[in-house]
Amino acid sequence: MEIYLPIAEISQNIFFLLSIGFVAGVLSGMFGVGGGFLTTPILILSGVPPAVAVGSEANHIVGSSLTGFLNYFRRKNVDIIMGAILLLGGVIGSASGVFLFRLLSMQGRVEEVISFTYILFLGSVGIYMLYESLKTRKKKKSGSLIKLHEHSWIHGLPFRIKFRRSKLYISIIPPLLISYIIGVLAAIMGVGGGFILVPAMIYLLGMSTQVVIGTSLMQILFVSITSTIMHAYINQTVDIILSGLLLLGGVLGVQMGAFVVQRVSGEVLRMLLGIIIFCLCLFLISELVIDPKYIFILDLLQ
Amino acid sequence: MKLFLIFNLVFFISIFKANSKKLIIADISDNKINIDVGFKGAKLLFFGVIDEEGDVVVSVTGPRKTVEVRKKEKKMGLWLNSDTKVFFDVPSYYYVASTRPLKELNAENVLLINQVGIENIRFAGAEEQEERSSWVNGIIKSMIKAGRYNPEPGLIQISDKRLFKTELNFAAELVDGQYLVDTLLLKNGAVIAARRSFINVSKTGYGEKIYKMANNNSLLYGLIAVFFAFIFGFVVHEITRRVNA
Repeated sequence: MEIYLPIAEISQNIFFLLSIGFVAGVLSGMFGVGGGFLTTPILILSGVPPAVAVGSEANHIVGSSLTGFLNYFRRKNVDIIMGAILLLGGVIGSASGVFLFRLLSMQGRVEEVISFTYILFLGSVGIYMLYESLKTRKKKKSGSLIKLHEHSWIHGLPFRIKFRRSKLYISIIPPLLISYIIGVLAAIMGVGGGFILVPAMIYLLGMSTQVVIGTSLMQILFVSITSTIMHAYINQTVDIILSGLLLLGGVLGVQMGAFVVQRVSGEVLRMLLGIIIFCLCLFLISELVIDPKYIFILDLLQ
Repeated sequence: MKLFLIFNLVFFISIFKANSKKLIIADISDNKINIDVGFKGAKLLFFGVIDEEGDVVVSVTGPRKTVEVRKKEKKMGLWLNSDTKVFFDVPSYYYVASTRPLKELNAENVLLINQVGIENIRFAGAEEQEERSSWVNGIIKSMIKAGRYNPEPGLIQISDKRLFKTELNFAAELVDGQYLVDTLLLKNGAVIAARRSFINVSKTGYGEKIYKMANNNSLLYGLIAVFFAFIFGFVVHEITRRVNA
């Protein structure tokens, strides 16, 4: 069954869109990420114009991250102060990202920049997650304790404040900087940034794991709200039919994800996510290397 | 652009001349196509009568658009965008049907002047470009792939030597605007009659409302998009909570 997407100006199969939404839902239920890092490239490959894929995906993430955020908030696993600081950096970052996106699309470079940043981040995050989860698994087997939280010079920069929920007393400069960079990336790539933010908070800020996902979802939620409004206002590339179908497909997926989480251990989960991310990265590399079928790409203007 | 206007003028003159003789009468089963959210493409019947024996050629041309074309090139082992050119007056849709294959009509010049047949479509822009024809061919190939141009000319059936009919197929990827349906009656390689009809393609229903709002009221549209996603996310959370409780 086909449905006409009024902003993308193409027809797509409803069940195809619902199943992408479902997969994104499973991911967000399992890992606390929006799932945009997977859906955006798939949408682009299926023929949705890249700009529309990015804009609509931001809108999709608003819905999926709100569900997750409320879940963690209820269980008191959100560090509001840390989240607010991450938010400040993220909002400024995503606003500059939308302008950068416009600049790049005018130069016809946007696709390349999207795929390069994807490859870079998917590749490094994927490999790191695989490495880390395998290490943890080994350590768990040998029975030694894992030290999560190590202090380095970045935590000692000025403007230190207490983050009670995260059990941290660190400078606000590193979280601001990290969230700014992620905000820029999020706006350009059409992702909430969760798949970068989660590892960054665990490994760079040293936050306690259970708070990370909830806080990351809070940041993703607000960043994707800003991204959606900016993309709609500046680029007119948000297709609500598209994002609505993705959300609809996600309803069941989130449940499935949450169901799986209760039955699989943490490092196995991270290993799975690492594998998914890494495969996607390999696929994007193959797109750049393998001879394309069509070397002229069209973009219909008015 | 100028070239295109001149050719159009030639065409109109030929229509004018031909109409005075009324050798050809044609109509379409519907001259409106509405694109709504459930749009899957459209099939229209094009039919008519000719007063003199000959070959009928029908071409359908979608609204002419400005098209930005990016060329990919392999650099350091990677396929990157190497060059961008802008072409004008590129038909967003093209379809041709005839009673006999175009090559058997012996009317190359007539077909060229009237832009009948995929290889005779003309675009403006990037005139200074070397190997411009490879760009033009690239555009045509991509248009065929996108389902906007039909690579195989359709067949027009003639019954009783006077009645003709053919089916016009429109894929779901339709640009809105006015589509020109040009009918030529050819005899011994010359046009003896011509007629132009129109099909109006427009967005309707929810699709149109969404499109208009996104473009005319974009800030409000963005806020509404966020609002809907919010409601959705909240409802899903409530459902999850109640199911798990």
